[in-house]
Amino acid sequence: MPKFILIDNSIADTSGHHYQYAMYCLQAAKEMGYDPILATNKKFKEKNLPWKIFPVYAGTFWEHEDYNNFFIKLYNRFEKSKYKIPLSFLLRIFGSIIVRKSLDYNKIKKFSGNTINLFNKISLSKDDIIFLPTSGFVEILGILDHAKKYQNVTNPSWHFLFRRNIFIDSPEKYSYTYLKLRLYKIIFDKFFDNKRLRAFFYTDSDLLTEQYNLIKSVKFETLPIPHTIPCKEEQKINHALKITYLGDARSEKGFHHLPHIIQDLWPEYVRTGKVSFTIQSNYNIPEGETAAIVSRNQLQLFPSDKVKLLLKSPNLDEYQKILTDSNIVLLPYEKTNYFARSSGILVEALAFGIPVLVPSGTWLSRQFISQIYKHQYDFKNNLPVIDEYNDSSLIFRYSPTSTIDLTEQKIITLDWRNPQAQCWLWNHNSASFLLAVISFDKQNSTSAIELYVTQLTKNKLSIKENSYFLQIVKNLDFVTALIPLEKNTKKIWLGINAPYTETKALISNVQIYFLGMNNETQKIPLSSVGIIYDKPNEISHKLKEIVDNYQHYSRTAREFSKEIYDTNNAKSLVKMITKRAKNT
Amino acid sequence: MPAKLVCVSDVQLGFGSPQIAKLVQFLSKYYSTKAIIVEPRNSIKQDSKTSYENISIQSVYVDDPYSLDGRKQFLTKAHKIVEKLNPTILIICTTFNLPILFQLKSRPDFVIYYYLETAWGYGKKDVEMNKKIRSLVDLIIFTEENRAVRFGEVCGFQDIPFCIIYNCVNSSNVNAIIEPNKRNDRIIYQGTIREDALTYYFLDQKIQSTPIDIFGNIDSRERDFYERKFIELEEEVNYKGSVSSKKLENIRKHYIYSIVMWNPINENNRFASPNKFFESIASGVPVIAAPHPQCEMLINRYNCGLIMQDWTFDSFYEAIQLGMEYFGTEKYEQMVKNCLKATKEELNWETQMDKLKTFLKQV
Repeated sequence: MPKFILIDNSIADTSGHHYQYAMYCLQAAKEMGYDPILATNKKFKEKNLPWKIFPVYAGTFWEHEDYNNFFIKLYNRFEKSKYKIPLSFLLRIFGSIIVRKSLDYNKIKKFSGNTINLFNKISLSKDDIIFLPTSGFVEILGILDHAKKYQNVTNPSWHFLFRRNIFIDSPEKYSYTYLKLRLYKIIFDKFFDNKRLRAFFYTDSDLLTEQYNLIKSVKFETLPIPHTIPCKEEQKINHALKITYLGDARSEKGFHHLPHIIQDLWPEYVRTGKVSFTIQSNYNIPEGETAAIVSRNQLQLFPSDKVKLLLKSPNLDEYQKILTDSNIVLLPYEKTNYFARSSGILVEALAFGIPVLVPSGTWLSRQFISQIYKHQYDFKNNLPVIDEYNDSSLIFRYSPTSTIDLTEQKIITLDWRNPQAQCWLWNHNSASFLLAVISFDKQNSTSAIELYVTQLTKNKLSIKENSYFLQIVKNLDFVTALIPLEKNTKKIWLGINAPYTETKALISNVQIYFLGMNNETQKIPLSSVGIIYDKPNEISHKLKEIVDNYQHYSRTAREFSKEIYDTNNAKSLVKMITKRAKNT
Repeated sequence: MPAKLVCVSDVQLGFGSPQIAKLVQFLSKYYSTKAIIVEPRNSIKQDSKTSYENISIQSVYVDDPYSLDGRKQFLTKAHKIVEKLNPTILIICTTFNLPILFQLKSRPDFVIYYYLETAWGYGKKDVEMNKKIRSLVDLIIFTEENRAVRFGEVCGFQDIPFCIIYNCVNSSNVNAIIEPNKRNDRIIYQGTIREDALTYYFLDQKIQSTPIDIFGNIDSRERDFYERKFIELEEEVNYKGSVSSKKLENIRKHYIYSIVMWNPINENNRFASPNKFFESIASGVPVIAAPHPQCEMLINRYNCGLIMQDWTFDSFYEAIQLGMEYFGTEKYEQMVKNCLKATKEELNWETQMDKLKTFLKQV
């Protein structure tokens, strides 16, 4: 029977994400006919598992992370330096020496030595799969070092998963890309030197895979997220809807927003028993990040029957229970870090049919934004259309002083020269919503546009300003935005921006609908599956929207769950790894 | 033996920071004891003539307490007083008074550090001092969340418990709100006239046709210039001079909006937790505020005012014009109702003190 060996030196106990990931993969491998084996950190003590366990590794990915981030520190220092051009030249020439000098060989040797111990106990064959779901430079170079000395280690296939950004934020902001990539290339090219080692590389998000393939070294592919549970027929809707935050307490995950959100909802939702909160609140580092400490301090003042804080990381069973008991999952993550990075918690929630709240312009929002577009598109059929603008009645210009009416052209092109098109609209008949439907030409290369909407009074005073980051998704050639209108709104300024200067937005059609309501008390859920917010100060308001229209959000999330689960499950992951190994 | 409560204030009572006396009153009631506040007093400044139940005041006369020498003089005298009083509970207001803790021969049972201003505004030595208070302080009170975060980042929390108490000194029991249609149709600005309060915006020609009354002392480097300019205002913007806080409380409720803004030139200003913000809301007067994080958060939460887009004059002007447009409409009436709702719900002294009770020690 071939072996499926999962190596994760960060697994030190049964709590946390790493362990969860491993359990799902190994269970799937077992069901698919593999002999599953788990190699962990030396601190791992658990013995009652349905597979062999080898706690052989000293040092975790996180302990290596400081080292692994040396490129980032070097890059950051370079970016802040006044002497960019000369330094860049020097780094191009001496890059490999710098890498060689900067690598911590002690850690690499240690990892290599630990791997020797492991494979002294396990014999390997060519159909075996060795999977490292938490890979960094120490890990891959440790394996390379080991492979130099031991022939048998080259028989099986090796699969390395990378989950951290090379760059943060959108491609627009990757400056001096070539330098960082060059340093990474030096590392990954080492795998070409060792032709006996069958190594395969992955990330778990398409945008991360794009980042890593920019290195132009080894080829990266995207693995599904394995730790999902399928949606049940019957869903538990708690008397007080349970709103959950899962993941440790850190700014990157938006933990510092939580006290405000709860206080915003307190009088009408929490105190009245409509909702309660369950918040995982263990720190990611022993002393805790400062903002997380302040936020947890505030959260601890709420009554524990309304706001339950989990001060320790839950184990797998506890985590699953918390997730499956949830009615809404909050993911108020920092946009810049999650532009390309995946969120396992999001995928778990969506696969289980739980509505979510996520920030715009992120990998998270990409996962279900198409459902929102389809939902909003139907509004023009379901609500009275009070007024309608299309190409013939809209006048778009590049700037207020421009005399060119862009809608006379077949395509409105937005690029680095003309990044914005704007127009004015009049809300003559006191509509309740504005629906914008923007379609793209096939040649369009941008992956998103930004829509800015300013609502003004009759005296041209700005009442409200909203922005919408609209990601363009495959198989859908349009995007939508549904904007609730203020009562005093008489005039509207609309701006469409191309956010990425290296690509072009080619807009083939813009349709604007002013929509009314069928009756004053009609409930209109503005989104579907979940809600995407643009700014943190919108979170509370959007969360109330989900609560107030919960039946709708729950139903649409459950309808969407199968699509997510079919793509993201442990068996899909094992199949993909196996297929790639067999095809070489 | 009853607890002995002493507070060392960094300001003369009645001239700012009303929350100091309010906190002392609360603690004196909580611990069933009388209290003493030691305050710096400038011999030139007049007496505020404010008295406080169960509190006696010991004034330390110093010519300019906020100069380097003045501070030293005050601290030397205040330290002696505290040493003599030998309190069981000691409240130290701001880093200005922190050196006293390092000088005391015996540590009081319970020490509260009322962090009303950022430590680094006083210089590097004060920052270093704030990093070494672990064994000297039992509780830190911050007035604003970002200030707490920054303190943690710069000085470290040093395992000292802390809480965040807003600067609202009003009761939840709000009354005497004046109906919108009975107000004077004017906007109030209350506060010291100085550069870092952006008060020069009121001198701009564009705003002169907007009905605004300005109350406050002029404390500018160019005092004579400002005084002349403000006194000369002739159109709808009027300078009314300085009045006592008691009188201001009675005047304020007649206005339709209250303007709150500080120039965000430093963290104290940027992360402002202005008393007048809470006072205005408690008076049923919606606030037009610059986007200080706490003000913005609370206005968004309760819809009890308007937020300027940024700190520029244009945003200041537009927000005021929008406010004037809303006045007389249902939207304005709702804002007034929301002020009362906010006060009863959260922005009152009782609710803030409930947060504090969790941290109080038995002494």
